[in-house]
Amino acid sequence: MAKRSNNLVYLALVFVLLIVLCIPLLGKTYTNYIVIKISILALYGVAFNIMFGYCGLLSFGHAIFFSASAYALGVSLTKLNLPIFIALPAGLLTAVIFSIIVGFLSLRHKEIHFAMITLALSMLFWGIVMKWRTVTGGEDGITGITRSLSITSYYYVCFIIVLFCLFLIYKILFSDFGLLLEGIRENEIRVEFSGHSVIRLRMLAMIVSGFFTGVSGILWAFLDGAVTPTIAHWSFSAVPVIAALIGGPQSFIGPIVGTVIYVIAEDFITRFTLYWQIWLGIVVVLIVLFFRGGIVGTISKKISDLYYSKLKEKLS
Amino acid sequence: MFFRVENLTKKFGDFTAVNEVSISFEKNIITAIIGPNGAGKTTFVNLCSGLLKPTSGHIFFHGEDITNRKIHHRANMGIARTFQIVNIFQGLSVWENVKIPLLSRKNVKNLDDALNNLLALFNLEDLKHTISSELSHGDQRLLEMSMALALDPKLLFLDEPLAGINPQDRGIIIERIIEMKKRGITVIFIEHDIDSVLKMADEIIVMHKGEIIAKGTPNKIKDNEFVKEVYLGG
Repeated sequence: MAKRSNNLVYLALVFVLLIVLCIPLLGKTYTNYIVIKISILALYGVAFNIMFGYCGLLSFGHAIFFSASAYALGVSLTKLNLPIFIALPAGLLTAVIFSIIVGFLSLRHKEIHFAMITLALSMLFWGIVMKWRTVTGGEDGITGITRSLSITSYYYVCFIIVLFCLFLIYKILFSDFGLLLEGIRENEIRVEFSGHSVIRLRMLAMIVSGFFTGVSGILWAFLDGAVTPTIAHWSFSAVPVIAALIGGPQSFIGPIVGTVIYVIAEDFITRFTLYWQIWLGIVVVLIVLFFRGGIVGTISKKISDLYYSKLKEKLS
Repeated sequence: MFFRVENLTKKFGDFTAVNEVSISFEKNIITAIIGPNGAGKTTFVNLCSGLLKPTSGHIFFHGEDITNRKIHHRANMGIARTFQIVNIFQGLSVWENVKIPLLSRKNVKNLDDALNNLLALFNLEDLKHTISSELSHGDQRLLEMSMALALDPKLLFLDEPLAGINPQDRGIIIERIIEMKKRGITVIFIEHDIDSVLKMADEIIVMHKGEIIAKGTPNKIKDNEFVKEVYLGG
């Protein structure tokens, strides 16, 4: 389950951390770009998974929060010429406001109904982004979002922010609040009979999820130097869904592992064909069929099964 | 009156599961609800605990109309329940299962102590790290009861608490239900096993076709001719 962690995992994390910190030393801009992309999308995946893996709600609306914060930042910086210390909170606040709106409209529903409402809202938002040219730039989006940092410096800044956000999400999910969210996923009626308002908890989860998705949207805007409608499209909401399914939604690091595989697979396959989605689709289908709990879920289950069978042997 | 319902009715389409039931419950009394299958016992408890909304009628707790109160509001007022089919967090540990209701209580000073005491009460201390789906049916029942008690309830509904329980666990459950009275908890339970009902109940309500056909002490109910005819088999 989500709370199974051991020293081996921590060691692996330290190892990964060291590798990530050393990558800029290679001096390859494209590699830096890909790792930044992975770290931003990993945060997006983990933030999304608060709703999916912990609350049991499959959202197809997270592109709204991601792009809303990016657009708000872009508008603040390039159209309103606001200073960055105002543009940043404006971006985050926009993501939070949209998460409240989406939550208000969708959180009384669950399963397919919740998924469809968030999908519909995502399509509606994309429509607005495309048509409201004076603000969003329509198909062209917003360009000219400049960052005063080199790609290498941005790499480290981005990495520290993502790491800090992941730490905060980890703290939130492994708190009493996180336990209540797991309770909702397991049995929402029992949570109500335990004296907690399920709607209130879900709304809080949506706000937290929206906030951190907003952080990833802002980091994305600075990475690309532009905001385009691609990130507002509902299909961009599917990115964390796929990442969570590949990695395993019921573990904290599942979406991170899933994102790494997703981005690398996308990057690798596009070198050979433009139709990379076909191959990625096949990978996702195979993982869903043969790794039910995702890669992390399946591996951790195998390890715990092995541990218990050895323990049984010892005891007998 | 501690808890009362007035003209409580629940209809499912043309079928009336609970029909114009009006009854009151005294504080600190253990009441059993008996009756044949389909009598409306579980529906009645579902209405009182907030799981179902009544078609008409009112529910009062401590004099306050709680008919439209949400489930979690009722739980915070001190109304708890268990279910006919065990209703716990199957994927969470025993410890986490009991912690969730405890978290809703603002007045718990030491959560760990409160948790350990509750688990000890139901002999579940050694199983606290076990995932609850791996527990036996009897232990799951005990866990569900400890979860209900974690709310520090004033009124507790138990829907067939002895269903599918082995004789040893049955004894623990009966003992705990009787003890609840000493803790100042009013218990309303549904049960089919008449011997157990007679051991625990101060008062018995008999339901038939959505209506209350008799109410009284166990001796009075045993001697009621109509009850014998419709439920106890003459």
